Parts: sequence; structure tokens; C-alpha cells
Amino acid sequence: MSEIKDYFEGITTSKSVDDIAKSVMAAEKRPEKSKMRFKPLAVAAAAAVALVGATVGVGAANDWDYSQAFRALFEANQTRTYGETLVEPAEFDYDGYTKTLDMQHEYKGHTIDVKWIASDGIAAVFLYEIECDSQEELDGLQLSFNATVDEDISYSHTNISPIFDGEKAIGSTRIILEEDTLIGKKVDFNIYTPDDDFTASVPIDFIETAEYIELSAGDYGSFLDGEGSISEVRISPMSMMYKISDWSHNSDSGRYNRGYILEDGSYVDTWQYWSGNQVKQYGDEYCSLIVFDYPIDITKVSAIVLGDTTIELK
Amino acid sequence: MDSNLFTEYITKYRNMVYRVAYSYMKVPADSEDIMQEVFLKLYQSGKSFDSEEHLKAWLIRVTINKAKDELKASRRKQTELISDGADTTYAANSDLHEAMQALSEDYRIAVYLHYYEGYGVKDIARLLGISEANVKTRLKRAREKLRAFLTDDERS
Repeated sequence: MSEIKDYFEGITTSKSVDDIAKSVMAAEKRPEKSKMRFKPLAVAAAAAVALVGATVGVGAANDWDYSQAFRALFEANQTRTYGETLVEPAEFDYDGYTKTLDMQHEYKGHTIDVKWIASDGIAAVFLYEIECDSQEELDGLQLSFNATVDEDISYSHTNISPIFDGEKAIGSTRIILEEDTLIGKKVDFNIYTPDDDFTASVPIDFIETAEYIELSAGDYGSFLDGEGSISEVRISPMSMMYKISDWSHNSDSGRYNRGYILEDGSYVDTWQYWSGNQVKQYGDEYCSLIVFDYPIDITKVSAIVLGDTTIELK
Repeated sequence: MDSNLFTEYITKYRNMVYRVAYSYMKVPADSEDIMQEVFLKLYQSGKSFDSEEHLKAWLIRVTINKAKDELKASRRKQTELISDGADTTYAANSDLHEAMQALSEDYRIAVYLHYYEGYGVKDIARLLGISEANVKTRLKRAREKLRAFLTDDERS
């Protein structure tokens, strides 16, 4: 196969280093709006439309930068202190991780607009907005969310209360699978209002690469002393999953470690900033699925701490 | 990003980024557009990388994502990508060039990452977001297609 190597060796750009640097600098100076414009949205929205239920409408695609909304959602609480560490949200490569939806549902004079989905290939977040003038208008409006992925039940995020941000209410809901990735799969979801519901179906076709660290070689130690052996761990920018052989410690009265250690040695306790946790039982094994409040930089995670056990990644 | 470091990255990785883009676009001008976007993104991101391998993998992933986005947009616009025939570097083995161009993008990028960049199946699976079995299948079928194409060509 040396011919193949020679073939690729012959593919070289005609642009010099200087040409490329100059073109990048010129592009850098262009107005932000045109530079950051999201790639074609119209057809992506149309593709989703073909699959949605009758109660879902579709808004016009626009030039709004959804990655900015994603940042706003996840970075709103960036000064919170988690456990021993002040955590700064990671710089996350949102480009290619989001897809516009603009699925709308009218409920008691308000438009619930499921604007977009973001995914790292392992977990996914749907962001929705509700037009309103105050938090009071939303009192009593709790939304429940159910999702299936390729007809297998996945994470269900329930009793979500949208939060008024001064102009509109913003809410989000999350999905995660216990294994495999979401790439190439179809997410069907229902959002239930107190009186009705709406449904939609979204193919995860906008993301190509899942980024995660997975340990699946067997026994990594006990979760708590003598309880529950950890058999599998996975961490992605948006989620963490672990499998253990016993879930008897699954009680809110019990406080146990569940976090990670960064390269600088600081410990980040995810207990206070998970967005939800679901435990699923498979025979004798239990799987805990957690979606973070905002993405983390997994390249800076050196170890995962589960109960009494620290699992080194590097 | 420090301009000296940025220039160093361009020097080191411009052909790699170009080759990945070319594996999808098959057109020099479009591949160079993608290359510019990738380096712009690198420049703007201010990312720090743990290692050269981390940087390399990031550049490959971003290039693939951008190339695929561009292909989708082009296909939606129903504009065909037609090679402009400007590549003269393949004259030494034009049959192989033709055979490689006949492969689908998915096969071509797998071949490039494996046979040129030297990535193993596991790394390619992570870079492309597909299973290892899928990578093996793509490499196997790509080899078969190349062999068939070149054999047919010799016979004709």
C-alpha cells in the first residue's frame, strides 16, 4: 500500500503558510455576524418537519447563533462553587454540535418553542423558550419530557419549570443513553404541559464524532466499602455514566462522592450540579446516567471519583 | 493565539488539513476554503492542547465536520462538485488517483487516516464517531474497491 501513501503525499495545498495566515487574519477581521453565522438551517429544519406530529408547527429558519444560546444557558451559573472547586465552564466546540428545530406549540396563549438540540454524541439537550412577560405567567406550568431513541426508552426529564430571564422563559431538557452513542439515531420526544402534549422526532444527523472517555474493562473497585463493584465508567463533555453491581446506597439521605479530579489536582463534585440522574437496572447491574449542567473539558479530567473509589484516567 | 505558534501550526498541519478536506471535497479550491475555515477556528478558539496528538486529532475532527457541512450544503443546493482538473501532482499514478476519486468520502477518509496518517482502527473509530467494526468494514471494502478498479483498468 505504499502507492496509497505516495498518492496522498502528492496531495498538497498550493497555498503558502503566509497565504493561509493572511487569509485567516482577513477573515478574522470580518464582522462577527457573518463570521459566526450558523451553517444552513433551513433544510435541517425542514427535515425535522417531515417527521413531527400534527401539533407541531415550524418557524422560519433564521440567522440566530444558537451556539450563543447554548453558552448562555450553560454559563449562566458559572460562578457557582461546586464542592471544593470553583468551576469555570469549559470552552466547548459547539460548531457542528447543534441543530435548529424551531418546533412550536401553542399553550394557553403562550408559544412553547423548542428551538434547538445540542449533543456531544453521547448526551443531548433540547432548549426551548416560552414567550412571556413575567415568571408569574408561568406559574403552574410544569413540563414533563419523555424521549425514546430508536424506540428504546432513554433518559426522561420530568417536572421542568421554565425560568423567566427578563425577556422570556428558557428551559432545557436532556437525554442520555446508557451505552452506545446517539449519532445516527432518531430521538422521538414528547413534552407534556398540564393539559396537553406535543411530539416530535429528531434525527441526530448533525454531529459526526462522539467525544468521550470510557473504561469498560471490569472491576474498578467498590463504590462504597463492601458495596457495589464499579464495572464501567464513561465521561463525555455533557454527561457521566457508571455501572455498579449494587444500588443499595441510592438514597438521598446518603451523601457520597461522585465527581472528577482535574489535572491541577482539584476535585469537582458533580453532586450539586448534575441536571438529573437516572438509575436503570439490568439484571444484577445498575447504571447511573447523569447529564451535567454545562459541558466540561474531558481532556482536563485526570480521574473520576465514585464513592470511595478513585479511578485514574491518565 | 500567539502568532508564532499559529504560524508553526499552519506550517506543520496545512497539508494534513488540506488532505482531509480534499478526501471529502475532491476539489482543490473547496478544500482550501475548508482549510482556511479550520485555521480560522483554531486561531479564534484560543484552545490549548495537551499534546501534538491532541491538536492533530482536533484539527482532523474539525476539518471533517466542516467538510461534511459543506458537502451537505452543496448537495442541498444541488450544485455538483466537479474536479477542475487542475491537479497535476497525480500524473505519476493517474489510475490510482482515479480509483481513489471513485471511492466514497467515507471510504477515502478511512484509507487516508489509516494508510497515510498511520492511525489504528480504534483511533479512526473515535475520530469518525463510528464503531471499530465499521472502520474495519470500510477499510476492507475500500481495499476491495481499489483492487477491483485497478484490476479492471489493467484489463481494459
